[in-house]
Amino acid sequence: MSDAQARRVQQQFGRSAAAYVTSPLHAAGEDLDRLLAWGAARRSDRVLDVATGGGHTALAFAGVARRVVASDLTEPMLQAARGHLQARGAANVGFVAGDAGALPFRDGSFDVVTCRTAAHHFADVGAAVRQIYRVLRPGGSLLLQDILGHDDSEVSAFILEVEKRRDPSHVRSYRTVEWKAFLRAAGLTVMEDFVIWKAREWDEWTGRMRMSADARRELETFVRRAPERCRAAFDFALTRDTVVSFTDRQILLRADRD
Amino acid sequence: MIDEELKAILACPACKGDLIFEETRIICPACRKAYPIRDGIPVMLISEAEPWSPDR
Repeated sequence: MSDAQARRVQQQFGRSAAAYVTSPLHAAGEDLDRLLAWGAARRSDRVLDVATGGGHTALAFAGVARRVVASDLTEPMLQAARGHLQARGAANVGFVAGDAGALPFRDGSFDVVTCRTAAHHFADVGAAVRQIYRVLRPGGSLLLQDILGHDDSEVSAFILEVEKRRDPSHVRSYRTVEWKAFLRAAGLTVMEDFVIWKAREWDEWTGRMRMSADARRELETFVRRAPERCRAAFDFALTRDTVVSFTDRQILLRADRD
Repeated sequence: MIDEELKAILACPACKGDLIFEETRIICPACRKAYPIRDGIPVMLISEAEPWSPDR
């Protein structure tokens, strides 16, 4: 990862670590259930959770795997995740500070690699996917979930601006066709993919990143002034003077190493 | 604490080569870099590595 992007991520998540441990959107959800079902159906002896954040995916997989390794670029995030998982009694999870673009593991170390709600922060998704391929054993699976990019360029530019104002370390999200190209280029075969909708409460979503009241108001103004078709694409709910919620799409993919 | 299983799968993030595990740091002799262990967590970030030489 570029040093500048790495610093943006570390700054953003160093101060938001606690909020990610307690975030209900990250702790559970249809997307996590689906990843777990995929993992449970595969041999998941040793699992790597890349960019573990609050450790929610690592915790879920600790229940189906013999051993989980949770890695993240941000040390305070890892410490918060470790505290969270220890309190929940997950004794089979190890923690390593690592960059998704330069994973510190031997080739073929893992049966399954998970990466959930994280790839939109990576400076170079292609490099991360190549690293994931390398650390998977032959026959192993990548189980990936992230925010889905939008096909329409105006709508896509609108939501990217909203995301970046909230979180400067947000790089971008990718469309299904882009994901499939990244995975194929790395040598992975897409076995399953689908899209789900995920609703976001505005106060929780903006509050988790500790946006100032001013920045939040400016962002709300930006959303209000955006073309109606951009808001409609994400089902933005507005009252007379606030933003209530919106819904975005998430992609889920299972891709196997031959 | 870095357990034996983790030691067996950890590699240098730069060259993916073998590592030497010490109490407070992890050394890649090929890259001549030492990665810190902070608060029990191996910090395997190239940006955090210190120069290392075998005679020190």
